[in-house]
Amino acid sequence: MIATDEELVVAARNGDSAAMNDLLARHYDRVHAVCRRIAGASRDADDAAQETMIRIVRHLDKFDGRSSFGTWVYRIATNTSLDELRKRRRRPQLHIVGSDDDAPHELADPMADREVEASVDRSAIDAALAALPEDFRVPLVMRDVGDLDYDEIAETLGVPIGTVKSRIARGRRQMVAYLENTGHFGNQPPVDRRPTNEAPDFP
Amino acid sequence: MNDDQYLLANAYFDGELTAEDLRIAETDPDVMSEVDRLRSLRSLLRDTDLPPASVRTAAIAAAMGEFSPATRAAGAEHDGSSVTGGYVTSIRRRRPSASRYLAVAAAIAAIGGVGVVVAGVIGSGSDDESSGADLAISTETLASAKPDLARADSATALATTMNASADRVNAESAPAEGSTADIASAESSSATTAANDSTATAAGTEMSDATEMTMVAPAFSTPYAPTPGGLIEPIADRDQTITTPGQLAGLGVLLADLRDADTLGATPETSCLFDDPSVEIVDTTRYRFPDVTKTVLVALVASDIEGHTLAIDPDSCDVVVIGP
Repeated sequence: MIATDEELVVAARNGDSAAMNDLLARHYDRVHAVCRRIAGASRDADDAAQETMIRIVRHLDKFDGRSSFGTWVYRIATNTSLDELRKRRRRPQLHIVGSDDDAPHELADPMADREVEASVDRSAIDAALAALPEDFRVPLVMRDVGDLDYDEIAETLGVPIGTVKSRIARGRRQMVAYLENTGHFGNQPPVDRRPTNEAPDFP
Repeated sequence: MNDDQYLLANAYFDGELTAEDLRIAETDPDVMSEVDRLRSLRSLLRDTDLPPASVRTAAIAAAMGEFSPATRAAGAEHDGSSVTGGYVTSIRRRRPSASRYLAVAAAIAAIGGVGVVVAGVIGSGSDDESSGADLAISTETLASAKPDLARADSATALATTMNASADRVNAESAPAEGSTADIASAESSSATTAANDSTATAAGTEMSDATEMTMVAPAFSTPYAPTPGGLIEPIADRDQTITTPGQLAGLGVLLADLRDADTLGATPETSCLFDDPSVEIVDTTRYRFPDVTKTVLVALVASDIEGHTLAIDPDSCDVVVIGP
């Protein structure tokens, strides 16, 4: 029988390191997704996800069970990602030429083409999110990736619930418009896929 | 699709509709079509590249490196702060070197639902943090307290010097709010545990009454009872007169941004010094209390999860407002 998060929390608080490890492993992928969507596809997301894991361990005693453990975790992930964004703004941007990350991946199996397509779609999502104003992006990710409800998002971001609703709705609308314009959403063909340095305008 | 339909679709998708609105949404094909599109978008948002296994493993290993079964089993906070539930900020004052063998032991119980715990213990302690006296401000407890209640009860509480267990103090002083009482009691238990633990490590030292909890002069002894909670209200002008804890928090956000951008300017001169790196006095502001407007110090309290902003009376050095 699989233990619930709450059972693992109790065990971890009592010193059960295996339970702690299970909790972290169980939530890591989703935490990383939250960090990735807020901090962007970069090492910052990896750093934020790791920092989130560390904060979970350090502050496990502060989890009071008023929300689900997952909600608590994704709130930490959100705040940690926002911290990473703030740090990024303060540091000079370095562009590394010829790093391993830039190397083309060898396509070694028949599924590779499909993986590339999926990767392109994911890149389009990354681009659409990156073009979204932070005020819209963060609550949208908190809701659609982190599964936080309006109240929790409002509390975390310090804005009224009405603002949260509005920003999420507008963020979604802009995301869909962006993806439709670039041919990555629905059945609508791409409007124009010629290379350009300019992001499509949001409505 | 008009804006009303779009908002209805969003609310439906997020499960935020009343039964009546739910029925309206489900009978509108345009709304339900939009819901499908929102579902697709969410699916795309959740479909992220998984990080390499090595990154995942390293992250979890790094976190597990912070895990201490011994301290967890003892019910003690890993970093030494006396916290069991909710969001608690600890302000540690390092023990003066002259009293190396003596740390003040005190637990200030709730003042009408407002809990301030100063847990002082005797003992050598295993490290600097455990040997310091902790002043732990439970902002969660504050958030659930009613200002008027706090103000009304404070006079009684202040007049009382207690030598009692922290559990008893909290149970008696916060009976009206069930959850608050639970939290306060849990905190006190933690403080007691911490005190006992530290006492256990202090064998051979002079003091024998280390676990005795003494109510000492609380930090919130000014006429301006600390006001709790609320949402952060954005502040654009640092010279604006502050009227709510939410605005104080908004000012804190603004000042933190200025500090991070190295444009904060000189910090105020004050005799209110906290020997703790997590508390940083960064500015002064005008705070409008119900009966008076007063210049207060503004302090930022760093925390891994969330920071807080404090207003401190420059004359008494007491915390008078806590921002959310």
